[in-house]
This record gives sequence, C-alpha cells and structure tokens, in this order.
Amino acid sequence: MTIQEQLLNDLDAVFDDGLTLSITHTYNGGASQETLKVFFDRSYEAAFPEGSVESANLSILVKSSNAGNITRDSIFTVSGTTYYPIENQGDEQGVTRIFLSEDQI
Amino acid sequence: MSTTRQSIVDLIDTNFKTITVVNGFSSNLGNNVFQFRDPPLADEELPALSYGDVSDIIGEEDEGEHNLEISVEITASGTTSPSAMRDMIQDVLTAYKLCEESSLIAEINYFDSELFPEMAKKKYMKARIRFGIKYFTEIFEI
Repeated sequence: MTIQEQLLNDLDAVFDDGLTLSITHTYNGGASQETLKVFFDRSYEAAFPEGSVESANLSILVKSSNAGNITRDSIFTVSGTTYYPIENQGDEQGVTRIFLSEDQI
Repeated sequence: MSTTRQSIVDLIDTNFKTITVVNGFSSNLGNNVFQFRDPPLADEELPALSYGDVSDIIGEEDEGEHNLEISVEITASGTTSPSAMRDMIQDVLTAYKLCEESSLIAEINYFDSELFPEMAKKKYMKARIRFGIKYFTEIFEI
C-alpha cells in the first residue's frame, strides 16, 4: 500500500466512522439532496480589515471524494440553520474546505 | 468650560440621533450612534453610525479659522442592499445638513463617500463619509 492509499484509508476512517457531523447538502437548483459528513468550524473573526464588526469564520471540512456536487449554488443545512458557500479552497490532500455565510452573496 | 468644538460635536451627535423612520428618514441609524467607536460592533448593534471629529486644520490667513473634518462610518449587515446603504448615506447627509442652521458654524461641506462590502458569517456593508465644518474662535482656542 502506498502512502497516498494509506492516507485516503485514514480519511475514510475519520470521515465515515469518526466524530463528524451529518449535514444536508441541497444542490442542482434545489432538485437534489445528499447527506454529507463534515467537520463544522466556527472561529471568531472580525469583519473588515480594521476589525470593526464582531463576526465568525464559518467553514466545513469534507472528504474531497464526497464534494463533487458542491457548487456556488449549493445550500447547506447544519442543525437547522441554512448556510451558503462563499469560497471553495479545493482539494487539499483528500479533503476540501468550504467557507460559508448565513447570507447569500 | 465647553469649547466651541465640543458644542459643534454635541450638535452633530444630536442631529445624527434624529435619524429614525418616525422622523421621516429611511432608516433607524439614529438608534445606534457612537462616537469614536473602538470595540467591534456586534450584529445586534447594526445598522450603526460611528463618527469622530478626526482633524482640525487652522486657516492659513486667520489662526482663528478652524476647518474640522468629520468622519462617519455606517455599518450594516444581512440583507441590507446597496440601495438601502445609499439611502442611509442620504439620511446622514440630511441630518448633517441641519448643522448649518447653527450660529456656531460658518460653513459646512460634504467631501466624499465610499462603499465597502465584506463577507463573513454574514454579509456586511460599510459606507464611509467625510464632511467639513468651518468655524471661528479666538486664536489658541478650539
């Protein structure tokens, strides 16, 4: 087994069987839904360069092999709250981080 | 003893606090007026108006002439549209223009305004407006 295969097996163990959160992903213009297992991160962030508004930096970490349906039009429902993607950082060693906002752009 | 500058700032503060829908404005910015607000604003404080008398330039020919610059920031969040932000800028301009009725003030000016968007947990918009006020005192007084 290569190192890459070992890493991907580890990701499967973490994302499929680990302590992740199940969220609802609505896509294809609202016509399709799927459940994704993700890590949901909500860290403090001050908005604007001078930090004049208290806010939060919201993101999910999802296994890249499960992120194929995520687009700019995706809608995520996490514990009853709706979020919209504002930035997709792309694949990083088998995982993808999507930054979210409570408001649509 | 209150200075002329303090009296002018008090007047500006009073006028900004009249910005409510009940008073005929398009927003309720007057409910959240802050002077030199430093700590970050919380979502529940928005929309907010923060202002300060950031500089005073003395006249070249008359040392009793003051050219006060007033800097105003409007911060709003959520579903506030760019057009609603423009309405709030107009609210601030309308309230500010009331200052010209004061006998303390010789002249008021509107310099410029800018709009800035930001995305974080919510969608935020900020507008920055700069005004000028000319007034006169004895020299070495503000």
